[in-house]
Amino acid sequence: MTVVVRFDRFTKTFGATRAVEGLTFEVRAGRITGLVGPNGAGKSTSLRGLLGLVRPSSGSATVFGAPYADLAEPARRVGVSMEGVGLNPAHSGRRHLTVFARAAGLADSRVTEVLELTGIAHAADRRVRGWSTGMRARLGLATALLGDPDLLVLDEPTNGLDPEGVRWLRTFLREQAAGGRTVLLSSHMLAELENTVDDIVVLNRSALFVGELAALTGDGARLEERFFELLTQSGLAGAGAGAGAAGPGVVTRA
Amino acid sequence: MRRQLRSELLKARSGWLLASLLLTATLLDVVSILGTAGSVHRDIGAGHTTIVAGSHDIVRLGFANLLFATLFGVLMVTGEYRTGAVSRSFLVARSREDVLSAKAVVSLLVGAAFGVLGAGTGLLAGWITLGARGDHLVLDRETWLICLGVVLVSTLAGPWGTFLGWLIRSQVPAVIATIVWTLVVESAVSAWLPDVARYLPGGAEAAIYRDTTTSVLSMPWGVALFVGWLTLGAAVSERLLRHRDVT
Repeated sequence: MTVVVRFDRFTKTFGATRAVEGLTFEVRAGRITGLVGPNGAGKSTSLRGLLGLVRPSSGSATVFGAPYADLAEPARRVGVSMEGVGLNPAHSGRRHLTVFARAAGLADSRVTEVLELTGIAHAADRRVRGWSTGMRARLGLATALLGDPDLLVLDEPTNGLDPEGVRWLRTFLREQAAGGRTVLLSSHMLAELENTVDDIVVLNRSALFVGELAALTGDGARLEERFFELLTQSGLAGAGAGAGAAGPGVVTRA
Repeated sequence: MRRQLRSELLKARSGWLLASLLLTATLLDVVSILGTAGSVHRDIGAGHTTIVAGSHDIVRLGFANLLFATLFGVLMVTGEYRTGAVSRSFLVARSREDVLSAKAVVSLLVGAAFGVLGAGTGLLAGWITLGARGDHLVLDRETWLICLGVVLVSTLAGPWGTFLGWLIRSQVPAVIATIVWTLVVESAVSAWLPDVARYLPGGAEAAIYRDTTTSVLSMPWGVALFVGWLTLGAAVSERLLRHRDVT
């Protein structure tokens, strides 16, 4: 199966702080891969490294076999919704989307399509400043979908969504994967991830587990249970298990 | 690049930033012209100046729009860092250099608008205010050269602002630094070290709008010098953009 995303010993340090260390895993085409970890585990840093927003201190992160910066039409290949990739609150939702549709060389009609697809068409002409967190999350998703990309990178996409929104997102992501698209998402909502992802990466600065969700929870255990077991093991080990150097209870695939 | 330009143009005309800066600049131009027209009239009466020199001084007041053009450039970049929208701009663009270039070009166009407005306000308000006192605005070759300088200096000040924005990134410090540098630091250097000040960005700008109060270069050399400063700003910004993390 085609590899869409590859982290290869990706390491990022900020001054004396090592945010991510030796992260190695792959995301295969048509799969939904969840990235989970406690606060400060390096999830967002890893995703930002993948997208070329931060430069790795060592190692690499590639999409479709190349660094993000080398993609000829990035918006048509990768759609991104993540915290910190913000929007101008003085713009309306429609204006926000039109700005980036033009930058991506897309027709303005695509803006209307994604507004309807994400269920925010009714508020499209209001300034984003007055939008709820859930509606902003949908706008982030709409922005990610503008270029009808092959890969979606979503950081905490359920933040602010109401239960109906969470269920809508789950169904939507499953449909995207069924249509051959690839999804890489990070989330704190372990129960929701369990219902959504095919593969999972447990991260605490380095990968504690990389593999199919079924391999982690196949014996009837819940993801939450396994997650805390892995964190406890990594804590006992001192610094977590490095990818490719699997310890007890650690599975690596990449 | 063309699509990035379309995107940046749409950003520039969205919201109230551009309109409010244009309005504020024009109001300040009018206020300063009103005050200057009164003093010119008194000085002519006292024999301290001539209507020709007074007309030039009044039309030249439109140069103040360069500060607003610079601020627009600064805010155009730092506003995106403040909201995090700069990450989206980089993700969607084909390259970071496209974003840098498009913002520079759009701020150049907006700077030209500030310049035209400044020169137009100088001419119109000068004609009205001097006329109201029985004087007549002199439209000689020097007046038109000053108008050209006012347009040119604001035009070039726009991209200069974007480069300052890329260098500093944080909005409030960037705005404070721009205002303090322009109004305080360069004025102080100009007073104490005029031979140094004429080669600074503000000295080059003064040469472009044909300032007569300080020792400045000729207008063509001022343009050449300021283009040199712009080139340096672009090179440093491009290098920083390529190597800095966007966090």
